[in-house]
Amino acid sequence: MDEAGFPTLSLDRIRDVAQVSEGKAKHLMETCVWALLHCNHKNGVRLNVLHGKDSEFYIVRWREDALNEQDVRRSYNRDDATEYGAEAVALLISVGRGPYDAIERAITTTGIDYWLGFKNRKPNEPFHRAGRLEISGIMTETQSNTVEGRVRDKLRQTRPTDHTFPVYIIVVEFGQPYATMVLKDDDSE
Amino acid sequence: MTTVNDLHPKAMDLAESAFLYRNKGEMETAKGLFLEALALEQQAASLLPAVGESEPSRSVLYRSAASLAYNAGEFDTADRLVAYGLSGYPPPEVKAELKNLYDEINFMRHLEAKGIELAEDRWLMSLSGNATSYGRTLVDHLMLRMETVKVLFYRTVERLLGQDYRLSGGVDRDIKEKYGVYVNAFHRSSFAVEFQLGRPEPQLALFAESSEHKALEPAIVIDEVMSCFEILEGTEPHRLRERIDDEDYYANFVALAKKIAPDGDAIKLVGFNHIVNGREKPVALRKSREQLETPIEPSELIEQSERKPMPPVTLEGILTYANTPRSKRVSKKGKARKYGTVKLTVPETGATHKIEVPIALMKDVVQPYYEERVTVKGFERAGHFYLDEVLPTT
Repeated sequence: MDEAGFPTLSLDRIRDVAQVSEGKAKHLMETCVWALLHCNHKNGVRLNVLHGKDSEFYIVRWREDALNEQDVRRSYNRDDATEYGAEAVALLISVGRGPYDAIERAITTTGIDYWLGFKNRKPNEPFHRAGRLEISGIMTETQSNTVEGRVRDKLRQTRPTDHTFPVYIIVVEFGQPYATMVLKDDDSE
Repeated sequence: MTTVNDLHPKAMDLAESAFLYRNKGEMETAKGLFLEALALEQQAASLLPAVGESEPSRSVLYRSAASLAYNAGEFDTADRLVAYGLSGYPPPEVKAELKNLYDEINFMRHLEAKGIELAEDRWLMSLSGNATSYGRTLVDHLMLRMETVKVLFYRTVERLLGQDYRLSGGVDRDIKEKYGVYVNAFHRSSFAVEFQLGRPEPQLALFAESSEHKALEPAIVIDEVMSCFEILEGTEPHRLRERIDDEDYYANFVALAKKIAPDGDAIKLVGFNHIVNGREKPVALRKSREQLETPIEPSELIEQSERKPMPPVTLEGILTYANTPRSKRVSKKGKARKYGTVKLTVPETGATHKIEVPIALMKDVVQPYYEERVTVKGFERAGHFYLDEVLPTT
């Protein structure tokens, strides 16, 4: 919690919530910092998370000694920062919402597939009762590239088959910054 | 006793590293890590019996292992792992993903430039579907895509050279001379065509500032087109709007990509292969035309009531009249859009429809069908038809 009482999203503590390698955790932190700095935000920026009719503020922080801002600015580009920076935020805000308390990974042809699961699962069933996590990022919203539109696209993409897992969609926008979380087929949306 | 939870996280850590190395261009290191991850993930998946209680973990693990094999270029192993995954009781989504992966693995086999020495100024386009067989394809499917590929490359050259979007007239002669698109050969695979892009004279590259156009390396143009295809085909197609920030070039690219894309059973897959840093970089287009982005969102086409749904409309008839626009319309959001109009006549009834066409689609997408029988898909608003896609009626 910060002085205003908002919970903190610590970019240097991604491994506390998600089973990712040290290298990947650093990559996620740095790309997210790149995106926030690119949008002229400072360490400690307030991020609004919209979930259905709820809205909640978080403070995004990173340990200044965990990275060198100049190196970070040189090391990534806009595409990397948007994609992986959104992953960093999504992983941090998704755990603890709903019944899930862990993040599982699987591989697709193009990258990592994230699932929301449980820490105390059976040792041979990592995806038992898990929900799927679909993440998308926008550096700065424009008239033709909005969070709302992106959520709509994600819903459309997951439409073709009757799904048996819950599907959570998180879209992160760095300009304001804010994130929207939608549970597909959630009647309360 | 070793459990899935002992093996799987280690496999995922290795896979994450592999993707990071691959993004840095260190392909050999990446491949080694993919193979290490594969061995662990395969072992993890094999610990689960093929019974309903093992799901969805078993099929997700096999899908993951097969993807690792695919990423390592081990297509035979990937095939086998997909079959193992399907042999259990996968839930519908995972089953569909395993089947898609199987198609992709097979297609990647076709895309491998077996025995073909691809240079950096060349690329291969391969078609697969019921309209193709080994070394043969229906000419309509091929010619439509070859012509569209040519147009798309010239447009990309113009964009990379920083030229304004060309509303009318042909491709600049200077560009055609320097960056001509050539067909080198047809290859037997599913069905493959090899293209080549012309290279400006070396002295033009040296004195780029003084020449009319700066010089572009063919490899840069080819990689730009392929990277845009990759984004459209991926899970974040909207990122293409960030890459192509000129809205006319963006809409034009998407509309042309839709013409090239698979159209159902006749052409199920369209693949490209090119060389980046000395290595093959295949791109497979698997999304059908309907699944691809709309060149211009319906809400951008109208001046009012953006949030009201616009019913989709399909019209069929002869394209009898095409008018390149001269005026702009400005929406409530302040966005200026140019429209052309086409007239569609239904010979059976004599009815005619006036269809509004975004300018970026007018020259390359609509005008080639003048006086042909076409099917127009689009949206209707207040008695106006707005075009999204036009194709020859089959």
